[in-house]
Amino acid sequence: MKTAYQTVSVEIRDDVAVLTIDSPPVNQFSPQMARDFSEAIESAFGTDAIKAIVITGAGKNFIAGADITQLQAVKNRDDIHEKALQGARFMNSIEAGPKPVVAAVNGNCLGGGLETAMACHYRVAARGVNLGQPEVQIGLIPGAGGTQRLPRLIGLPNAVEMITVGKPIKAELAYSRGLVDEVAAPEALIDTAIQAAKRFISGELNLKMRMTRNRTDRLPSAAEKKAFLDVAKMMAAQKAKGYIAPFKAIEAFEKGLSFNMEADIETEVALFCDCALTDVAKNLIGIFLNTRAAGKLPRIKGMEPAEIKTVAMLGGGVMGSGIVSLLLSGGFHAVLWDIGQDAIEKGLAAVRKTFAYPIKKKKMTPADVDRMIETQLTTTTEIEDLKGVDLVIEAVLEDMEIKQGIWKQLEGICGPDVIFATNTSALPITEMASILKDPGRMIGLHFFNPAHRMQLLEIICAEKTSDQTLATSVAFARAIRKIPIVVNDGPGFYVSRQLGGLFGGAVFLVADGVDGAVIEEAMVDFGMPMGPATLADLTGIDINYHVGKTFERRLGERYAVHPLTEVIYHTGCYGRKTGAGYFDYSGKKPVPNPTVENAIKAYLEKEGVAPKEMSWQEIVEVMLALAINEAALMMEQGICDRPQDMDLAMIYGTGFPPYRGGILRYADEWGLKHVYDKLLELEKRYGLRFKPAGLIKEMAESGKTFYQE
Amino acid sequence: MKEVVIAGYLRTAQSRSRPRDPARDWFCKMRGDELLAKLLPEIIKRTDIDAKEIDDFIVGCATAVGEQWAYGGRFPIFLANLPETIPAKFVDQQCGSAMACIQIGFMEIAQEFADIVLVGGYEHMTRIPMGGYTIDRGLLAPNLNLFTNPDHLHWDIMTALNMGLTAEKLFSQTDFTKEEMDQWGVRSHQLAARAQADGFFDGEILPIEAPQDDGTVMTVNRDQAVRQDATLEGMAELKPAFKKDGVITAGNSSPLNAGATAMILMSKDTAKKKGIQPLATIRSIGFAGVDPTIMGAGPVPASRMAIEKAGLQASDIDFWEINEAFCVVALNCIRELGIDPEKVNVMGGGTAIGHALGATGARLTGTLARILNEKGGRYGCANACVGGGQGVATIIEREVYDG
Repeated sequence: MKTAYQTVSVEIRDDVAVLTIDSPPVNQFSPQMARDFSEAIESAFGTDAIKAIVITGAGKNFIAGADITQLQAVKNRDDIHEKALQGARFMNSIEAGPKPVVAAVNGNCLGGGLETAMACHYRVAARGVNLGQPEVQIGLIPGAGGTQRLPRLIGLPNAVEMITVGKPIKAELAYSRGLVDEVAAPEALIDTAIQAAKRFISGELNLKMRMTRNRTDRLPSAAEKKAFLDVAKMMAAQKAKGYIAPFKAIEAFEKGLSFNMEADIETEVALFCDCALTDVAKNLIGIFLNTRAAGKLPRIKGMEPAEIKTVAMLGGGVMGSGIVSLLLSGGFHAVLWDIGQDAIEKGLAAVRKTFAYPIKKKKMTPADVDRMIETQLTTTTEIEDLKGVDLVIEAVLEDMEIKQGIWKQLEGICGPDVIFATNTSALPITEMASILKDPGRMIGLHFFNPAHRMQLLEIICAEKTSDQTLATSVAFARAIRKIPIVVNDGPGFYVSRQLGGLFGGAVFLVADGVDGAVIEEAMVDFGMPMGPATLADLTGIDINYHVGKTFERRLGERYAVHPLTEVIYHTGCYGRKTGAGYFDYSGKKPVPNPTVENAIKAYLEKEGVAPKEMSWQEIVEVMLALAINEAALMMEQGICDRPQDMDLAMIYGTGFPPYRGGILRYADEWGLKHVYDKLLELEKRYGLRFKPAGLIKEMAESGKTFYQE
Repeated sequence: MKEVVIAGYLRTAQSRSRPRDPARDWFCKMRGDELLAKLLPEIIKRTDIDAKEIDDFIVGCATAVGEQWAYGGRFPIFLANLPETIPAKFVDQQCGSAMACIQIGFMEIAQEFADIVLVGGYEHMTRIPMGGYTIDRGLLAPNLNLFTNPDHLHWDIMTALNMGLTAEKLFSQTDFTKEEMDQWGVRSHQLAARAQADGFFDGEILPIEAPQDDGTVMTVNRDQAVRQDATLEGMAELKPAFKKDGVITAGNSSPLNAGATAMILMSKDTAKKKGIQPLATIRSIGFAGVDPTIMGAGPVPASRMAIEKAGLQASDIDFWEINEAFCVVALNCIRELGIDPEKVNVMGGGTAIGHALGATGARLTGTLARILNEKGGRYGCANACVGGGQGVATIIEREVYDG
């Protein structure tokens, strides 16, 4: 048989052809690879001396799926339908071919990779590898037979879960479910696969029976299918509101799972194309690609980050303990410093608590935690003990003098290359750094609470932060598995200020007579995890008030605190921590707090404002218009300039609904002209706060969008 | 010992199963337990008893793996929404499963531990195929010692597991000809087709609204495998199904089928009290083991036992239902017991009607009871060969029931 291909290497072992897909970097189904792969299969099928085929991958992946950057550019159905169909038919041809094909799953086997494996007649997986159909996570469904083959192999319930949620499973679980036939040590993988191939050749394994299309014993009856998918639809409606792919996947099960698998796969391909054409898919693909690219700034391109081994954590409070937890999990040595032994003990207890969840989920044992703390963590109350660290992260009291005092001290203790990072969420970092001989070493590392769970790390460059400091900080963020978003210093940095912009319209609406409860509903329906009142109760109405005052002081008249905000603040109900804010938390379920309700009512009466009906859509437009304006203002002010990073920051930092792509993606889809008109209208109604940013006006006039594609 | 009667009998039609082409099975989109669950409320209603009076539910299936697993027989109860107070047991005696259910129910009532027993059986041979498929998928895992350990090789388990090969072997030990088997097969189809045309089976088949693979719904009310156009010439052309130069073909053996059966047994006293007209009275039962490589010989000793226990002679039996797993099984039984062939499978046999393994025992017994009523016979014997080398038999008597 032909053995020379660009992306497939061929080794003949007796009468078995071992095809190794080698298409760097991730073994993607590139046009070249698809061509080579199908030629190699065809050649092996057509060569008499070859009796069976083993397929495996080089590197960390078995086979990765299609190139999703191409999907992002898809404009109409014809662009993809034929291609997708070809892919699906190629899988069919492997399965229905004349010779046994064994998949030797050497690494990640996701999407098109798993679909290929399932079209084979036998699957051997290396221990610990991941197998899954994660397409829904980027707004798609499997499009090469995944929805039809997976239920045949593992039954409908597990297949529905794997495909509608998209979470991969390990080889061991895949084995127990029947998705793979054997699990082997990585070094024995190919030999095991060849052994299986020989069992086909000897007749011990039957090719026909092993074709996935003939595995019908796990297909549901019509009644079962209906009953189960009705429930699945209901659950998806609850859990995947706003998304499209999970429902399309369910539709693929519903319309498929007949005994005519190839016809059902063509239905699947059509549904896949439906998904690929949606904005939701494009948004999610964008997020996926941008997440990979986050932190890769031109400014630090090619720079070698300094090696970080030991990290000092100043302060073991809520943020400090979460960060220590991250450091331990990331394999760093951590030194926890706090002012007294009591604080240290509290901090340690809080660190342990961060591992309660993985312990409960049996991902680790209490002994693992003990061992980590014993070997990776030291504690001290002596600042001199921080001499040997590579990075200091500070999360002490939000007081400029105290913080500066500590940094000044550390400047004398630590070497000149040690990075000084502050986790402040309110203080100007440029000012904080000004007392240092080398302000270039200082940077903001703004973690989100809970630090060990939230994926975002907002990295704030002060005026003089050096490129080296930034490059090392970005690398550090990746090392602790955070998504780094780099912005510049300014009040509230990016995320807090943007969130303020997104929810800041609420008080204007309430003061206009709109029911606060409807605003909550509208924002939750839009996809936010909670509405503005619920969030305010969580973060503290007093804290928000003081942040508002700071904005007013530092950013000027536009940010004047609304009189109604003053009224609510003066009720003394600050939220959950005082037992009541917008809502009263004394009962089992939060209920509207009469104190705040009455204060609002009195305000409206005094102002002569009548209750106002407003649709969810109208509310969302007011809220988003203000948010988009805030983003534009921040761009003008040089806080940030990368729309993709800004959108990611809101998605990972505040739970902005991913399927909407982000605030700026939303703006582009809405049209800047519409945004501008809306803002003009709102400025008239609500005043200066809504005055369109110059950038918005300019974009509306020139027809520009935030994203340049 | 109390006398036990068959108070009700109902079955689904038997579809023709095709594991390699599932869509052609009329029941391809229904599970066996769903078929059974359709029957249970209906037979209770038709027999005119209250479901709460049922003391036991005994259900049979030959391949109770995958979706045919029934949680000890409780799932059909749940699917039919019958009272939770009905206990259940699940019985596997392979092709004798449902007959074993009848036998156990018979003994429970005879010994007065129960008064009314619901019996069921099901098998779906498209959805859970026999043999190779299930073994290949790990659903069945026979002990490898049986295949490889010299201590066990004498069982010849490869033959014993392959029903077709056991039939070939049984044939080779007799002097029947292939033509005689084929002839019996043609007879079976013709009799069954005539019975269908006469509407005989309408009295025992509950029509089922069955979803089809193409999304349509079909009312399944007749046995799918019956061929009114079966001819000896056609049969002669069929290729051997199990071995080269073999004689066992698709024409002289039962097809693969899906179907379910249900039966209500009760004491004769209770039937009388309730004013229920029984189909027949159970007189005797038989079971026997034989060489597993000629399992088709099983009905002979099983029937002998039942006849002897009933104090009868074979010649006393007016009608026989001999399961035609293979035609040679019926021919062998006829010869060994000296039966008049005209008394055997008078409405056609398994070759045509089908043989949904776990459901068959009740199908044979129920149909036999109806034949006794239809034709005015007194004694009837239903028997079946059983994979693994067994036979089962049941003797019933149609009486004049007053009240």
